Amino acid sequence: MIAYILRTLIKMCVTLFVIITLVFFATRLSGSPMETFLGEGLTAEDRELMIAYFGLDQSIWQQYLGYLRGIVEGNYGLSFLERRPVADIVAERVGPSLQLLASSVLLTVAVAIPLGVLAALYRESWVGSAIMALAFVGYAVPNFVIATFMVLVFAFMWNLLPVVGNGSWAHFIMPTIAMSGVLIAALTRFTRNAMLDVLGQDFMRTARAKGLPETVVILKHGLRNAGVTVLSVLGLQIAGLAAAGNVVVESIFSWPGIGELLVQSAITRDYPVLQFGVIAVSLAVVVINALTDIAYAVADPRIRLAKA
Amino acid sequence: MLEAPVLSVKQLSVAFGSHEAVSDLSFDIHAGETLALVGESGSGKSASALSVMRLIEREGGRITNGQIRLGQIGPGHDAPVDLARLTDRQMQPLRGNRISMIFQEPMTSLNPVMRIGEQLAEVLRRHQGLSRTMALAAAEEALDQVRIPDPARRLRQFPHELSGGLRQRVMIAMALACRPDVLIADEPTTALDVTTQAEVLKLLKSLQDELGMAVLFITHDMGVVAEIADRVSVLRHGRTEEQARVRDLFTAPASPYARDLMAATPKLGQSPIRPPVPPAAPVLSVRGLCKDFHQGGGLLKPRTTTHAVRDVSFDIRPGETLGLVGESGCGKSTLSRAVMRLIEPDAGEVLLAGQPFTGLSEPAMRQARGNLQMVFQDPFASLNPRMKVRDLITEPAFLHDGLDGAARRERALDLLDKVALPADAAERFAHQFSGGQRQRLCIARALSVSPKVIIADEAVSALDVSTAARVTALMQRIQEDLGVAFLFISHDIAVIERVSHRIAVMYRGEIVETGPTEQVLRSPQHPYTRKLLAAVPIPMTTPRTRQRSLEPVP
Repeated sequence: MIAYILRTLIKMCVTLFVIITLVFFATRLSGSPMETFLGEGLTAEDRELMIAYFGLDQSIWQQYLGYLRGIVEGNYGLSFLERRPVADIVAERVGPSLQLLASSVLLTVAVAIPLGVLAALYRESWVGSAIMALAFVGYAVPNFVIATFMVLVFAFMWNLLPVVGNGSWAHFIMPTIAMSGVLIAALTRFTRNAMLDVLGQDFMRTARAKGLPETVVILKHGLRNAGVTVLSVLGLQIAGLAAAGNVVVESIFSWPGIGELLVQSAITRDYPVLQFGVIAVSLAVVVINALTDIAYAVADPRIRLAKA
Repeated sequence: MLEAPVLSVKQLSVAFGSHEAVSDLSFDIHAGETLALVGESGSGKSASALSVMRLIEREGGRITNGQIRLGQIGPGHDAPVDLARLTDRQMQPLRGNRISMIFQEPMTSLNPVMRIGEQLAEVLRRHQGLSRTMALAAAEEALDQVRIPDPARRLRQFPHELSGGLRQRVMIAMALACRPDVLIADEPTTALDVTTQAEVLKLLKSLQDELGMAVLFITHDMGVVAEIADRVSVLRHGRTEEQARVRDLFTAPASPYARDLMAATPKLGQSPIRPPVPPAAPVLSVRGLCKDFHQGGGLLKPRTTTHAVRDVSFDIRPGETLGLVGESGCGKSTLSRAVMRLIEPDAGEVLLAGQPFTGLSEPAMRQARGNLQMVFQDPFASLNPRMKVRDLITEPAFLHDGLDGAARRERALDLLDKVALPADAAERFAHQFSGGQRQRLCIARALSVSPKVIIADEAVSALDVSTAARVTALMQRIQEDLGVAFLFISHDIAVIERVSHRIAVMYRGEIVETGPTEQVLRSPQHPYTRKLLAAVPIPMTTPRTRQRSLEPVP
């Protein structure tokens, strides 16, 4: 177990290093950020001062090394726009993003797993076909279409739900649905397939031969095995959601989360914020992946972490 | 017999769709009695067992006619119930409680993500209303009853931590936990090694003496029948061919089918021994072959090494069959693959027709492989489903000699003739053939390049006895006609006796004994060979009280 954690930590550091490097150079490719920030009326000396203040007069390698040193020392830079530490700016955004992620995952699990099980059990009746058709539609419609549609109907036409911000529980409804839509569709299909696999297994026949009622056979013996496979996919999906799903949805609903921050800082070329935002998201993805591995090993005794 | 039967099946018919799998099946089993249901695959024996459990509906079948009356052991009980008329909900309290079942595949019949204790306790909690702690205590007792060492520790283990034999014991413990009136055992020892099989059969017998249940035992193995059954019902295509006491069936089978089945069953010590072939330069010579497997060996993880094949040497003469026998995991398949260089051996050399085979470069080795062909265990998986038979069986000839066009078609017809398949088979696909016919196709394919040696790795293990007998007879005829040598690998020593001139016994990666068939079987030298021979169930009933040594081999 300790060996596993150590190995995971080493892998995490390597991954993060690669991401930091990529992000640093990718942002530099689009030209000097100062052109956007410095107004027309600035004197040449002020201009030099500003550039020196942000360290942009150094060579790109010096900047890179300086940035790496800063990360190791816990100094992640200042926002060009707000002139305050990017760590503070990003930290404010973590909470709302996590809340939205959590509510989306809860909704997904609560809807997709029962639907998937039902679709497997009634695969030959209209119930199964209807669920799979619905899942197919959900898979095909992008989340921003769902979001726009909901805003149109529930906010503008009927005026039922708030659109902007995260002020109350009602604010969660539309972003959560928009975030989970595709995920529910994917997980329903996956749960169904995993369940179909399990239904044909020998140990299910054993469970029935023991005299267990069908509900116990399905929910205890079946779902517990299907759950192991579902779990691994769910982890990947959550990681994907944390990485990309929130950018679009948070922007549409002006959700004060990291996704919205990334978009804003990219538009304004506030590179320190953008860099640190991307690093924070990557960190989240890496951590979610590691947690998925651990959960997988806990759920399935045949998987030993030492071998992962 | 005055006492009413515990299980009484009358005129049972079972259908899958419009296909009738079981027709008009009737039998009675009394307390303490064992009825064996015998037949080849597709004879309807498993369908019958699942019908009695009323699990057949789950497999897509249905009971179309008949009664299944379940009584109780001992005097003064309620009238028997007709299981065929119960709903699933009414069956639930009976299953696992008054009527239990154990299955063929101990590896997959237990839930892989639940602890052994939990799976056992589940039955006791459901049927006897025990609390969790009481049920776990009872589960420990149940494991002790099936002679599983250290039961307390086993309760906390998961199925994958146990061997096949132990898992089957857990299944038996689970089935017997509520002391059922009827136990159905569907090929419970087929997936096990002979020595493990012997132990499990002995255990079942003694538990039956202890608990007095009626046992319905399903098997295709006449040796097992002789070992465990009191009466036998022989099934074929869903119909009962014969029902008799075991002794009567073995001494004087009444129906022609039963006679065929008995004749096809390889009986240890009953086949005519093939005399050794005259001395000649060996066609295949293996010297000091070794193959290790490594596991782990990553960061912070010690590497474990398994010596799958250890310093193995043997010779095969032209026209000779060397039978390689050993239990699962002894390294015999690894050995065959290493000889073929499908996996590279770590040490040792292989000489093929006097020429070194190990050490050849990849292209040279491929050319030399024309002299060394293989027939695999699974005739379903080892034939490409998308190729016509004529291309399938001549593919090695095409690859080696560039045989094509009319010559290739001609070769295909010639090969089909050699393996006694009709000429029109050439235009068909593999899935249109039965298991035995497919294995003939595999043999034809091996023969297409006129090899000097054919390695047959468990080539008849997946086949029914009568089919297997025909396939081994075919191999023998081909050997006599073409002088090809066989390395015949099997876990079944009776089959080995039937086909081999000489035998090599493999145990834990080493060949512990080798010699002419007669010598190895009549006067085995190594303790493991003796144990292996003692464990083989013998399909005859007279010397029923055979003494067995089940002590572990050092």
